[in-house]
Amino acid sequence: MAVPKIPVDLFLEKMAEDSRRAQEIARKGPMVMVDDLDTEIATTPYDIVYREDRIKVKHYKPPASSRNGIRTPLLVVYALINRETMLDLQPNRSVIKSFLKNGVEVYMIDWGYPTRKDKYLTIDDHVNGYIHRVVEFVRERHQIDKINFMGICMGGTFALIYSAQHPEKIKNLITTVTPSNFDTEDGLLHIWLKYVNPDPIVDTYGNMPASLMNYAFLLLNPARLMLDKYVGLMENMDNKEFVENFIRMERWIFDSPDVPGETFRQFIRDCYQGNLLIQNRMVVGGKPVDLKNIQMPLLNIYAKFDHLVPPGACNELIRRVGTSDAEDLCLDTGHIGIYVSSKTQKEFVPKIVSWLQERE
Amino acid sequence: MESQEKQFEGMVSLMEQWMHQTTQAWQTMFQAPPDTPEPESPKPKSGEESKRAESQWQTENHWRPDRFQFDAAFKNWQSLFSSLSQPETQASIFSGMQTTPLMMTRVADSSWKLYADMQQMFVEQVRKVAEFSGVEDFSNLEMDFLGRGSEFYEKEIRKYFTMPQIGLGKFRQEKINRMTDRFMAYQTAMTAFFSLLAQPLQESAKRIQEQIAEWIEQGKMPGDPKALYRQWIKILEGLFMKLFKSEEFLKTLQNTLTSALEFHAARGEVFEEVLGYFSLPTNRELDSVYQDLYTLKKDVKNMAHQAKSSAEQTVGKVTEKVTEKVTEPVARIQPPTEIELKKDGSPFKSKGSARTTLQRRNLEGNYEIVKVKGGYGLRRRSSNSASEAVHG
Repeated sequence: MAVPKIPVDLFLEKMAEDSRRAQEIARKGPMVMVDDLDTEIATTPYDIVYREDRIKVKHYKPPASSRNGIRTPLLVVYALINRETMLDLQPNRSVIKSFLKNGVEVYMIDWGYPTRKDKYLTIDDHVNGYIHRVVEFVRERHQIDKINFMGICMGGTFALIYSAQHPEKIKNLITTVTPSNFDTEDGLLHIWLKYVNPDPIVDTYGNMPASLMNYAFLLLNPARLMLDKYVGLMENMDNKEFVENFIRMERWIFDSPDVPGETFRQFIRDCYQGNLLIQNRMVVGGKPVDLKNIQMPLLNIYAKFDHLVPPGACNELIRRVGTSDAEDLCLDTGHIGIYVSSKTQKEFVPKIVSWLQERE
Repeated sequence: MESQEKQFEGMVSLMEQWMHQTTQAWQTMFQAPPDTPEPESPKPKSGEESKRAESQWQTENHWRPDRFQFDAAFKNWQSLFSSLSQPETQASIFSGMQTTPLMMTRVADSSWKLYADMQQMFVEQVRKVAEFSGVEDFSNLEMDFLGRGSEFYEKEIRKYFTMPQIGLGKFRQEKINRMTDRFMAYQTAMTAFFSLLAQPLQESAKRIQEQIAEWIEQGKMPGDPKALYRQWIKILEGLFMKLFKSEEFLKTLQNTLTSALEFHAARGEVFEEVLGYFSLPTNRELDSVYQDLYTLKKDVKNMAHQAKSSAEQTVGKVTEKVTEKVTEPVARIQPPTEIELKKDGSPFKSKGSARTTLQRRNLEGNYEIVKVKGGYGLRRRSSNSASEAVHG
């Protein structure tokens, strides 16, 4: 019988090394944690130029030196889940800063924190109410007929609905990690939400509670999100920069507003369960949403390893819109990595900027 | 039988004699001398005097209870025992006494039967537990017992919490029972859910052991302990993915969510009851206010929008957007530029196309066609010229 080969010496040597490293971390780590950590997020300066109910519009003005020929302002609409601060999470990996460096003037909607009184707000209230009024505000402020429009995740779905119902107001449309086709089994959310009845949730809680959504998101991959992530922190706790970035990410991940009840109900019923949007059967504000009305240029960006909005939920879109100037861009990253990964940062914003420049 | 009757008769006569002696003794004790006046209740006196009088009366007479009551009582006892000595009475009592052992036997019999029935019910419940757990003896309880706990609770335990209540506090008690019932169901469902989530952890521990054995056999055992951890995480991740897509997990998830929501709702009903005592508004009441607020705001915004559109069309005045009052002023609609061109910013090529646009936008009274660089534009008339336009 062959003697099993176990590299005991290597194993022990590695264990000794790990043990030394662990001691070092145990010595330095607590000092880093109690040190003066810079964990602020959304530090790029902005002005609040518009307020309505709970929402605000942030205005980021690029420095005069960075003008790059894009005069049309860009309105960014984030999802109702989590916060738009994702786009300005770290000083050296900020999508907003990259836009400003490239001369793009940015307006971004901050959806705020819904309270119980917002439970009756529907998708129509968000799209043809708040978004419409913000678009009108930006148009009138700049004295222009059309603006550039960018939607992220659920915000991208709203952007699609708005652009289909008000195409005359949008010059160029960019959708990033935007679910448009919900009939896919690639992502767990798409499987689970087909079985979940939103009615008792909304009837009981009013709004969809953020805490419940956070549990659901953690449950998507508990091994990585509840275990491995914190093992990683333990292994790098003596690295101040790592800890600061980790804390920033934690702040963003768990900074979750509730989702207004009626919006949540309709989104689950019409999108996740009915998949009405991609079939042009969705009705918002009493009017049908026909993707063929999207006649403006469209740039559709999605992530290959996105477990929340898998590629199958995004790559059907350009075939369904009315414009021939539609382009897909699939990046080798995940749902959040598209905004915070240093590798993607070099690809994501420059691509958008050059695409806008060509269509200015 | 006859001897028993004789014994009974003897007992009765004995009792009669004892009663007679006792009565005499008590009568002697309480009987006052013939010429002793009956103690009178003191006349009402004022203040200290009346108090002293009362206590004196009590002191003098407290060992001597009301004679009249005792006399009546004794007379009753005497008549009772006299009637006991009657043969007919003795006969009926005797037959009654004979039935006592029989009665006691019956009582004992039914009590024993009830106890046996209860024991049987308990054994039956235990058997059902075993059935649900899928095991035949408890020496090897499987985890799927927890998974079927919800089912067991719904079928066997819940009925006790859903019994209808009675009385003034009926509704309150039913709410509390409902909350308790839903809490139990929620706990059961959560236990089942977590037991399901624990399965990949157990399975991954088993699989990493198998993986290590395989590596050792193939001589590919990594020298880095972290590689084992990474492999274990990978296995665990894969097992979770597989679990989360399974029918069993989806059903358990649905069940857990439903039970959580039902408990939340039932608890809310109890809280509403409590809030009512403190005159605090409940969620239900606030929701109705919020709904009215939402409808009103929407109507106001629609009306403002309509007013703005018609104002722009007819008189071209600048209006203010109707928004919620905030510390910073809201953006105002900028007045239109003096010269209006085509939508793309280029001038109209001819007067005719400018006039067509004027007519289409219904601006003929307020705007005039003017020459601009490259073509023609539309300029707002001054108020005098607008008036001239209207009146000719």
